[in-house]
Amino acid sequence: MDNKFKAQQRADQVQAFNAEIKCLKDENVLELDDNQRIAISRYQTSLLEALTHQFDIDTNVRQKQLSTGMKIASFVGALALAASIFFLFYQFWGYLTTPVQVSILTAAPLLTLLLTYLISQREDTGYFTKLMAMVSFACFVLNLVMLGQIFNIAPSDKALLAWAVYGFLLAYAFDIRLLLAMAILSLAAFIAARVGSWSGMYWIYTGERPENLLLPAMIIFSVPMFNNRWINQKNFNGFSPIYRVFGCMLFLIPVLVLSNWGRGSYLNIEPDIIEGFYQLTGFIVSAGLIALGIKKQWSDVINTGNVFFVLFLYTKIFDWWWEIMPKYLFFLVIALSSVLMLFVYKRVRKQSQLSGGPDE
Amino acid sequence: MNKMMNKLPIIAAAFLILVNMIVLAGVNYNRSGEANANLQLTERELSLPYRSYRQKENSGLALKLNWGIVPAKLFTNNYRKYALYSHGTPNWLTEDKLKALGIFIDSTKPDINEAAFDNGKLPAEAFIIVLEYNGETFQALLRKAEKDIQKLRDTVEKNPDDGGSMKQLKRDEEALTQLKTSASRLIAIDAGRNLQTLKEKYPDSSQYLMMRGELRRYWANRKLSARINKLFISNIHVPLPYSEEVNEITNREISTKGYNKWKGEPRYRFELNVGKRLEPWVGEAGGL
Repeated sequence: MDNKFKAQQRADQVQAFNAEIKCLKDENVLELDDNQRIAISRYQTSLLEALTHQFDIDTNVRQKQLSTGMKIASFVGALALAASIFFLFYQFWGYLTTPVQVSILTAAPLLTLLLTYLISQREDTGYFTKLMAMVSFACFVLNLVMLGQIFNIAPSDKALLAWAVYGFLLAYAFDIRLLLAMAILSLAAFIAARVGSWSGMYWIYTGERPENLLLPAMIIFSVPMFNNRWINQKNFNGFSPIYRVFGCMLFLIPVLVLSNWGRGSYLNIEPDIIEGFYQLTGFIVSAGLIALGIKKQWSDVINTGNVFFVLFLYTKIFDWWWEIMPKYLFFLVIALSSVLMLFVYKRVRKQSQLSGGPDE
Repeated sequence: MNKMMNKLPIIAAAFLILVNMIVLAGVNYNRSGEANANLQLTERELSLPYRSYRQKENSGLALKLNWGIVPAKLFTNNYRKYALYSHGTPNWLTEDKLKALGIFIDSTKPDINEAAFDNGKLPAEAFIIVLEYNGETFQALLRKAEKDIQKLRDTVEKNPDDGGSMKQLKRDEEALTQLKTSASRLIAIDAGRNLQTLKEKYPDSSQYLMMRGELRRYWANRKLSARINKLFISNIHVPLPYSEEVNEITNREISTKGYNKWKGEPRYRFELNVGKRLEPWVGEAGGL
């Protein structure tokens, strides 16, 4: 077992097995003899002990609920601590000389990185490690932003690349999905800024052309496909789905925007034609993602594709009929389209059940 | 987890050190050698910033670099007649100038459809903006304003009962006093892409300031025009001990009031330098 995600899956499997054995016994289908029961119980106890020791997994429902609470607390704690550091610096930096300011700014991410490492060596749960790693990331953001202010440096998109690299390093070093998401967003913003500047645009305005995000989206979506001997995404707790979901969102959000705002496109043709093109693209890509997700058994891609397919469908229905239809009829159309989609999904689900195979 | 993963915290630490070294080396490079500009400015050009409630806790000080453009149509605002604004289309930014800046107007100009005249299609671009300090452009503006106000004085003399003209004269005289005593004397007079070419054209580093800024093209009656949107660095950080000096001279106005309403004679002066990467920094400061 090489990661917490797989260890948790195994523990859940053990619990499901025990529950099923109990059902089979209650229904008088199967009863294990004492020797078998003892052997299984011993094996499971030692397995769960080993997994708990190594990965601090949840072995019952109550533990799972508490873990969720701890995740939320560590997330909120990290955000609040980062904000506190930021305002602390802002409150007092005017009273410090430039060398002191620079020393504090450069030392803060390094010290918090060291703390993150030390905590990770002593802690089983990983919550405090995650909290400290996020604070370290925030300190690095503060580091570059404030050096820019102190030395009057013109804003540069290269800072986004630096944040992305540091985010990736922390995410992979300490197995933190939230930092992976931040690194992905920074990288997407950096690539989009570069794509924008190829067209002559000043990088800060890259958001004026949503198409700038299409290339980074494709790059990010394809990252989990490239595993090598140094990095194999499967060894990290839920990293592949994050790449895929962010890839899908970074592609489909600009398409959704352009399907309603053709003027934002690079294409120098009538906005109506551009909007029509992106509406069609949105439907094809989101339906394609659902199909790909079913084929590859990527539930994350299926769900993202579903959400965007529905969004494209409803914005189109709104466009066509909100003005001209009586409201009762408009909502009836939406209800009917939902029912139709339920039928389609039911059919797809049935096919999926027949083909069998577990989800990733 | 393989060995590579165990080394990631060390790689992360090395990365942090490397990035900071690159940033500080850039700062050092910018400030090394002879500065591209070295000007003695006053509160007129470097004013105290407006500080909103949100920024009340900010203990740092960054002065606002004030500059203006001279538009083709001067003195059209009756209420702030001689005020100069730092955004808009300067009179020198003509179609020929746009061509000289390397903007291919003919290929930008669309042949048929309205969609191509969409201002949103024209991106903002980075250029070097040349600012002239208290030079011929500002002096010509002063002369023009004097001439303009003289005309109004003559009108009032001829028609002393015209209350409207009297009021206008009073307002304009106040505006002229502000132009003479508290308005910025930094005027954007040119733009270009090549620093060396601009330095050859404007060699006096004590009068000309070159900084990176943003030009945005737009269509006006199917003709291509452009405006200067902003300078990328318009707030200049003031380190200790100069920030303390400014606070003393201005009676800590910025930390007590949070905003600057000063319209009188300038109270302090600053040396402003611009380095090789066109990034500014302040040098010596003092009272006036």
